[in-house]
Amino acid sequence: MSRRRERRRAERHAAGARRAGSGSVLRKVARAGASRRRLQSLILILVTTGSMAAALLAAQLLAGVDAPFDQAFGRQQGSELTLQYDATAATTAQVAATAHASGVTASAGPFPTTVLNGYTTDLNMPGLDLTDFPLPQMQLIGRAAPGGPVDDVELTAGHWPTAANQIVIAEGSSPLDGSPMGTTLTFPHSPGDPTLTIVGVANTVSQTADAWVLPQEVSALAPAGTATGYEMLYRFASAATAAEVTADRTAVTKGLPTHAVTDAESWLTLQSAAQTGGNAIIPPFLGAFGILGVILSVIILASVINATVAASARRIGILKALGCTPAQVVRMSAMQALIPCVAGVALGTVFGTVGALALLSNTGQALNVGTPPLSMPIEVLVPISALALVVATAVLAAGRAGRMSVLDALAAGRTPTSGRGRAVQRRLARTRLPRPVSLGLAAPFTRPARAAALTLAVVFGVIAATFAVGVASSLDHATTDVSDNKGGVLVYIDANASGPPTAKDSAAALKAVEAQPGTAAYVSSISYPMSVQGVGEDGTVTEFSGGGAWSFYPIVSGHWFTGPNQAVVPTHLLRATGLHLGDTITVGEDGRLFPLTIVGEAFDTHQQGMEVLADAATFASVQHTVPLGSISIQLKPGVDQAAYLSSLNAALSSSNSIATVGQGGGGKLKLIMGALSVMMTLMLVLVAALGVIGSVMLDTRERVHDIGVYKAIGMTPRQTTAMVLTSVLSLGIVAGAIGAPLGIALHDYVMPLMGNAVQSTLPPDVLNVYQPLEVALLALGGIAIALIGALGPAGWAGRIRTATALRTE
Amino acid sequence: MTAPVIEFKQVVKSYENGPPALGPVDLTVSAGEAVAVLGPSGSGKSTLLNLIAALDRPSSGEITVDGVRVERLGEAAGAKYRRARIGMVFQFFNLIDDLCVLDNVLLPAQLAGVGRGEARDRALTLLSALGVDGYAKHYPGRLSGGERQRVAVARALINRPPLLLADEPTGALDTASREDVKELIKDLNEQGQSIVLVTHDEELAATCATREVRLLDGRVVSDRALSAVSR
Ligand SMILES: Nc1ncnc2c1ncn2[C@@H]1O[C@H](COP(=O)(O)OP(=O)(O)OP(=O)(O)O)[C@@H](O)[C@H]1O
Ligand SMILES: [Mg+2]
Repeated sequence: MSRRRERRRAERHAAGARRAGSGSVLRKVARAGASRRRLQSLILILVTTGSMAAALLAAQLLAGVDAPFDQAFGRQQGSELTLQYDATAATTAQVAATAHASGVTASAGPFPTTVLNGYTTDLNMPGLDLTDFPLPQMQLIGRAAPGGPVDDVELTAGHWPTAANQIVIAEGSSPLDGSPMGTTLTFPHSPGDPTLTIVGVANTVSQTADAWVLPQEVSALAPAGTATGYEMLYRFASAATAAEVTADRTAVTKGLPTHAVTDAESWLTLQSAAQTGGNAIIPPFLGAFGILGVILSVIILASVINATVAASARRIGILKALGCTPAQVVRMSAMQALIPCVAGVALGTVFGTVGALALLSNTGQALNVGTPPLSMPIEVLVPISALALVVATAVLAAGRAGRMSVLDALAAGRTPTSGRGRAVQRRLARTRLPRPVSLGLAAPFTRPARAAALTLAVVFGVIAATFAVGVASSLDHATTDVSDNKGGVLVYIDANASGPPTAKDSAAALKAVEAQPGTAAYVSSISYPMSVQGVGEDGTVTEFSGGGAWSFYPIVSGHWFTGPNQAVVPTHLLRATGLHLGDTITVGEDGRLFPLTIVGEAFDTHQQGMEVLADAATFASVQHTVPLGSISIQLKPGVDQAAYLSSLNAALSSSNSIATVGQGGGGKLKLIMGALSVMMTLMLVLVAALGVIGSVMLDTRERVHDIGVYKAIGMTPRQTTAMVLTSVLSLGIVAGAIGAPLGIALHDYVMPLMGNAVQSTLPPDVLNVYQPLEVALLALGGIAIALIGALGPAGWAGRIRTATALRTE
Repeated sequence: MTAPVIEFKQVVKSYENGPPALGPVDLTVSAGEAVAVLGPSGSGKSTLLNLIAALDRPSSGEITVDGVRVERLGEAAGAKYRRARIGMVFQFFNLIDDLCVLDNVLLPAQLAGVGRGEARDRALTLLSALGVDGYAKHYPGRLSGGERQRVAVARALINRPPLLLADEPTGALDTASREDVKELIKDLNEQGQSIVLVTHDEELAATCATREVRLLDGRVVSDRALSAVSR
C-alpha cells in the first residue's frame, strides 16, 4: 500500500514539475464544474435518494415477510406448549414445579387466569356501535410485565398495566383490537362492576392471552363463583414434531392430578394456522413488490449516473486538451458523480429505513406477528451495494468518456447521432405532424441506450400499477365470508348477560330478521366442530340457512349446494383427503352420520381450509349448542338503510344481537393489503417518474443550446414544451404496451402462489380480473408516468429565455 | 426615403444593477438599408441585436420593427414575430446537427406552418441561389464553415423576413469563406433585403454596408452613410 502511495506521489510530483501548478488548476476547474453542475448534482441526489429508499424499503420488506411467524416466534421466545391448569385441582406450587420437568429449557408462569363474559365497552365507532353490547368471552391473564424467558410479549402501543384499573388488549383479539387507547370496559359480573381502561396493545404470537392485567387483579375480576386457573408456558429441548410436543406434555404433567390441565395449545398448531391461514397470502404479494422495487432502483440509478457522466464528456475533452491525463480526468468526473450519489445513498437510507419501519409495523399487524424488526444485515448490505453500484457505474462511464479522443469529446453533445437516429429524424421530418412533435418523437432515437433504460423504468412503474390493481380486484373476489355484505346489513349475535349466546338467541334473531319488512334475502352461517371423514375429530362444519344460492364463497369448480345432503368443500380438504367432486364425504359421529355428496370446490381459508359447507336443512335433526354467528341481509330496493337498522335493532333487543351496516369482507387483511399495495405502487411509480425527471432534465440541459436555436428561429414556448413532452411520449406508449401485459403476467404468476399459500386453487373469477378497458387505462399509465416525469423539464425548456439558452455552451 | 424598418426611441438596456449595457439609443433604419454595427468588444452590439430580435427586452424605451412594438411582445408572440419578420445568422452557425441541411433550412417554415411543398420549393431555391444545393442531404458536421454559414443564411431567409440580422457572420470563418459570405450579404442587400450586421470586421462593413453605426460603452458615437465609392 505504501509503495503504491509513494508511486502515486512520485507521479504527481513529476506531473507537477512538467506543468507547474496544474494540480491546483485542475482542482479549480473541478470545483467550478461542481457549482455549474449544481442542477445535475441535485438530480443525482434526488434520484439516488429515491431509488436507494425504494430498494432498502423493498429489501427490508422481503426480509420481514420471510417466514414471519417463525421470525416472531423466535424473537418472542414463543411458548412451545401453553397449558391451562385448574386451580382447584392443582396448587400454585405444583404448577410452578412443572418448570423443572425433564426437557423443559425455559418456562413462564404460573400466571393467574380467568375467563370473562358479557362485559361491555364504551366503544362507538362509525358503523360499529358496540356501546352496552355484551362482548364474547375473553381469556384474561395476570402478568406483571410483558417480558420474560418465554412469550416475550411485544407492546405495539401504549404501556403495560401499572394500576388496578388498567388492561392491555392482545393484538388480533377481536372485536376490541383496534379500539383506541382509553376505551373502557365494564365487567358487570365481576364483584363491584369494575371498569378498566385500555392502556396498551400487545402482540403474542403464542396467543397466550386475549388481555392482560396485573396478577393480583385476576382474582378480583373473576366473576363470583368462577374459579380462577393458572397458565404455564414452556419451551423444550425438542419440540419440533407433534410427537415430541406430546412427549413434552406428558413429562410436564407427570404426577399431577388427571384433570389438572384444562386446556393445552401446541405451537405447531399456531404455526400451521399462520402458514395456511388467510394471512399467508401476504408474503408472496409483498415479495413481488419488493423484487420490482429493487430492480427498478438499480435500473434508474445506473442510467441516470451514466447520463450525468456522459454529459460531462465535453468538459472532459476540454480538460484533456489542456493537458490532463486520462486517469486524472476519469477520477475527477467519477468524483463529481460520486459526491452527490453518496449524499443520496445516505439520505435514501434514512428515508428507506423510516418507510420500512412504518411498512413493517403495518405488515406485522396484518400478519399478527408484532412488529418485525429491521434486518441489520440488509440495513448495511443494501447501502453498501448501492454505493458499489454507484462507484462502478460512475467509474465505467467516466472511463468511457476518458478514453474518447479529445476531438470527439470536444464535439460531444453536438456530435451527430447514429445513422439510425438520423434516418428516423429524416423520416419523421417528412410526415405531416407538426414540426415540434416530429422533432420530439425523433429524440429517443438519438440516444437509444438512454431511451431504453428510461422505457424500462416506466415499464416497471406500469407493471407495479397493473399488478396492484389486479391483486386488489382479486382480493375483492376472494372474500370468503358471510360478513362480506357491503351495502347491506349485518346482524351479529353474541354473548348475552349470563354467558355465551344461546341457540335461542339465534333463533330469535333469525325470526326478527325474517319478520322485518324490507328484508329481501338473508344468509346466516354457523360453524361447529364435527367429525369429518378424512379429517377426524378436528373437523368443522359450517351450515347455511336462509339464502339458497346467495353465496359468498367463490367456487373453484362445481357449484354451490342446491339443497340438503350436498357439500361444498375447500380445495385443501379435497387435497388432504384425496376426494373429488361427486364423491361422498361423511360427517358426524356415532349414530348420527351424514353422507354428503361433494358438489362444489370453494375458495375458503377458514379453519385452514378444512371445513365442510352445507345447507342447514341437512342437519335439522342436530340440536346445536353453538349459536349463530352472524346474519347477512340484503335489503329490498328503495329501503332506507338507516331506518331499517334502527327498526331491526329494536326488534333484536331481546336476542342479544346487534345490526350494523355491512362492510366489505376480508376486513383488516384486505384493508391492509389495499393500503400496502397503494403505498408500494405509489413508491414505484414515484421512483420511475423520478428517473424520467432526472433523465429528461439532463437531456434537456444537454440540448439547451439547440433549444435556444429553435426559439431564435421562431419556436414558441408552447411548441418547445410540446417538443420535450413528445420526446417521452413514444417511450411512454411502448412502456405501457409492454408493462401492462407483464403486470398481468406477474399477477397471474403470483396469485396462484398466494392461493397455494392458503392451500387453495383459485377460482377463475379471482384469477381473471382484468377488464379490457382497465388494461387499456393501465397501458396509458405508462404515458402518464412519462409525461408527469417530463413535465418539469418541458416547462423549463418552454420558459428559458432564448438569449440565455443561446449563451449556454 | 422609404418607411423605417427599425425605430429605437430612447432605448436603454441594463443588466442586473449594472451600468447600462446599451443606451440610451435613438436609431432609425429604413427598408433596404444594410447597417453595419461596429464597436469594441463589450460595447453593446449583441445587446442591440438581441433587442431587435425580441430575444431580450429593453429596460426602457420603445422599439418598433416593421410596425411591431417589439418590447411589448411576450415569449410566444416574440417567437411568432421572429418567424415572420426576422432572419437570424450567428457567428457559430447554430445549425442543428441531427438534421440534414434541407431539414435545417425547412425548420422555420415548418414551425410557421408553411405548406410542405411550398417550403421545400423555397428551401431548394434558396440553397441553389446560395450555391449549396448540392449539400441538401448532407449533415452540417461535414460542411466547411463558409458552407455552413450559407446554410444558416438560407434558414434565416426561408420565411422571407423583412429584416436579416447577423451577429459576427464571418467571425468563425477563414479568409476564403469570409469573402464568400461578404459577397452573399452584399448581393442580398442589393436585391433589397434590409440587413443589420454586427461585426468587428471593418472591411466587411465597408464592403457590404450602406451605413455604419459605431457603439462605445453602449452609446452611438458615430452614424454615417457609406458612399457608393467606398462600397
Ligand atoms: N446576460 C447578461 N448579463 C449581464 N451582463 C451582460 C449580459 N449580456 C451582456 N452583458 C454585458 O453587456 C455588455 C454588452 O455586451 P454585448 O454582448 O452586447 O457586447 P458586444 O458588443 O456584443 O461584445 P462582443 O464584440 O465581444 O461580442 C457587456 O459588458 C456584457 O458583459
Ligand atoms: Mg457580441
